[in-house]
Amino acid sequence: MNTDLIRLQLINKLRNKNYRDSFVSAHIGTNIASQIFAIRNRRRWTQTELADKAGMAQTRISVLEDANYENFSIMTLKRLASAFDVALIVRFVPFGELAEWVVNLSPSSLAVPSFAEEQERSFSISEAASRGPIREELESVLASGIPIGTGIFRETYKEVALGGYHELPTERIPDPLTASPRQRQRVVAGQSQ
Amino acid sequence: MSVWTFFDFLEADGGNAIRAWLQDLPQEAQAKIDARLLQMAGMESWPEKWISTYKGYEKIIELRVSCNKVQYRPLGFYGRLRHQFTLLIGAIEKDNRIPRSVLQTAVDRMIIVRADGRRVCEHRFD
Repeated sequence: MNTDLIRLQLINKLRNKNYRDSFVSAHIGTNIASQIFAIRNRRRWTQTELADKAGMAQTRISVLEDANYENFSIMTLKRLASAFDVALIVRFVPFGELAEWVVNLSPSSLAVPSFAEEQERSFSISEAASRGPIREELESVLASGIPIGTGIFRETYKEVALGGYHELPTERIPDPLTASPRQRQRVVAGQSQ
Repeated sequence: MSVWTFFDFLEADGGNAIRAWLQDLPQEAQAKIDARLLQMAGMESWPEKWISTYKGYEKIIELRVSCNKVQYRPLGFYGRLRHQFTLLIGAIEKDNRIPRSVLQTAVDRMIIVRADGRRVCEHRFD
């Protein structure tokens, strides 16, 4: 898929107020349902297992994974976030951001890692840095003021950046929050992208 | 990066059957179907409630989209290549049924597409 072209097509269609209101509504249902499905599959949990962890009935999970269902309550989402041990952000955004999210969707952006998995990943990046030439890159990321995930990740970057590595990277290192397994493997092996 | 790419069936004269069907739908339904396709494109696999098949027409997959109590059913098949899905015809389900003629048209079109890759174009969202 040509994501630039699709983004333009979508933004053009969003000029219609009725369409964009409907798109927002549809996106909420579809996105939440697909994330519940994707995260549950990543953990290899059945609907019953998720239901037990979230204190709900299995039939409720089945309904929540139906993209046609749009009546989510914040309370339900908070319970699911807790069961998955992931963060939940509910916020208003410009349509450009929505279009960006939608056209760049990927399995990894849907099936987000748990807090424990994030910590493991953070440790791997830190360990990789001790073998690789990424100090300058990390310092520039820190200096740019770009938010780097949670405080834990920020501290990890700082720790690594101050660790004293000398060679300059030729390309950007993968973001630990979004890097593909292959990219992470390369970092661990001390290679740039 | 998207996983799936959607294609539309083209009539013999080049007319896009899916585009024509979608453009006749209410804006709300168009938005719902667009949102669904875009979401499905980024997923590795699709939840069972999002799709289904009909007995006797197992190769034909329906996308289950509901909007304002109307059951929209874009029908298609997996292919021609891996991680491609070709939309063949759009329908509206009533009383849990789709006319047999619609399903047969979907099958006929699937056969055409399998034989001739020029009878599809990438799905557009405008």
